[in-house]
Amino acid sequence: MAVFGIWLGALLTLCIYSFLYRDNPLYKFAEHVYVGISAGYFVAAEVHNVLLPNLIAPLRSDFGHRFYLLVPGLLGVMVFFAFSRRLNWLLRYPLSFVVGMGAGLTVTAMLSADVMAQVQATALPLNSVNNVLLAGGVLATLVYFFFSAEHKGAVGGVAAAGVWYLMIAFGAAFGYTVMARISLLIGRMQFLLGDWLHLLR
Amino acid sequence: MKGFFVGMMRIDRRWIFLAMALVVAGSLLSDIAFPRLEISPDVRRAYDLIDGLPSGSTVLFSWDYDPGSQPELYPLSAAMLRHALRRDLRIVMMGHWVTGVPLIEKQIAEVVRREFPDKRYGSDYVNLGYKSGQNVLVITMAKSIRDAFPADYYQTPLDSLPLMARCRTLRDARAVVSFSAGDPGLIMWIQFAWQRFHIPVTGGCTAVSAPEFSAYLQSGQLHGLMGGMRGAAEYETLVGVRGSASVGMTAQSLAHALIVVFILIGNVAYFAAGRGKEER
Repeated sequence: MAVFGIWLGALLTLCIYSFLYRDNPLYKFAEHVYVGISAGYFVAAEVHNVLLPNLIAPLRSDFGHRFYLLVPGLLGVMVFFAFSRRLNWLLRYPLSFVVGMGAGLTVTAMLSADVMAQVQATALPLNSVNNVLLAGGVLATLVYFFFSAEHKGAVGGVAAAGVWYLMIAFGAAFGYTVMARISLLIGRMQFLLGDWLHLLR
Repeated sequence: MKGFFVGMMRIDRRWIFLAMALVVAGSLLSDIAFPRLEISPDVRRAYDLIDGLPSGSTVLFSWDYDPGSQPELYPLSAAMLRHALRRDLRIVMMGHWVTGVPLIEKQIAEVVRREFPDKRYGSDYVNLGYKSGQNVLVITMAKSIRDAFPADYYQTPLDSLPLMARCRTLRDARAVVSFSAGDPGLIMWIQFAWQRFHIPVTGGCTAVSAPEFSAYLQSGQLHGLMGGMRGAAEYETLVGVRGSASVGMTAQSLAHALIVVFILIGNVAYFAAGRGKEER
């Protein structure tokens, strides 16, 4: 069975890579297989990992104490009214719950972790080159994105420094992206040459 | 000469794909090993966090990636898992990505059972599996892991697992380690586990997302980081294992060199062909 899996994986990998030559039916086939299996897997996994243990099993074993679980269960069912033209207004209730709760949780978490903590970490004493570069970079980049004053004179100079900081950041990000894509190619090559063809020591 | 450069400007990109494939395959087949890797401070810090935990401490490992990021994050999670087991830490495993759960199983089979046969499921490690909910799940786990996971991945009630008797909430974990390919992942753990509950968070990410974590490292919200295959190779070096990331480093370096050559050729050809003048 393991050998069959390896052969299947190798052939599907080659089908996907054949797109690099040109679009073709083998690539389309592998793409559709991937999308179909992923969708089926997601549904089955959600049912087995979430719906059954967190909703169905508790309701069946102890309905008296867990009857409140009917509320999220009902909200979940209401999502499917999206497919009904007559009753799709019922979708608003679960959506408003999800959006409200999600916004409440995310806004506080982001303010705390991504705004306050970052501002605190940037307000550094300017007693080292690193700290000067960091604080200067943040200020210059913020000035670049400040559009209420024309980028001329001193403001233009600082904004230009901000552009340099942005370019360096983009360069670093692009370098990392190249590294990531090459890593994926290496991973597939290790699979094809090692697991499939047994050419690697 | 100009004709040559004009030709280079019009080269079919499939030749570039072929050159890249040949360089990567050739370096893997030739088994050339580059000199020892330098360990970056961020990887060292992640290593020190795990290394400094008292034996028997509970650590939560979260596999927040799918097979698409396997080449980068699988060797990374294997190296860190190996280190934690050598340190005799108790590991609670879970994942926020539904397609990542089979990778937990694979890692249990290939690392835990093969290299640490004396480690017992339920006492030394537990696999909680996947659950949706993301940040709500983390908050629920901070209140009670049982509310979030009534049973483990194999449908065993948590009360029958000795490790989970000691680890009742997320706050009982001494650290959270996330192997993250995006959201939900490391950022969410920082926002909730560290920022709300002050549980140290470390882990690894794909190289694509590594730059965005610099701010969290600088602010001290993230206790070390392994970025991509390079980070994995560094951690493998620290734990003394030559895994797939270390083996892949030579191919990675040669592929980068090839890209640099392509960029140089492209630029020389661009200006030699007179395109720069035309645009100016």
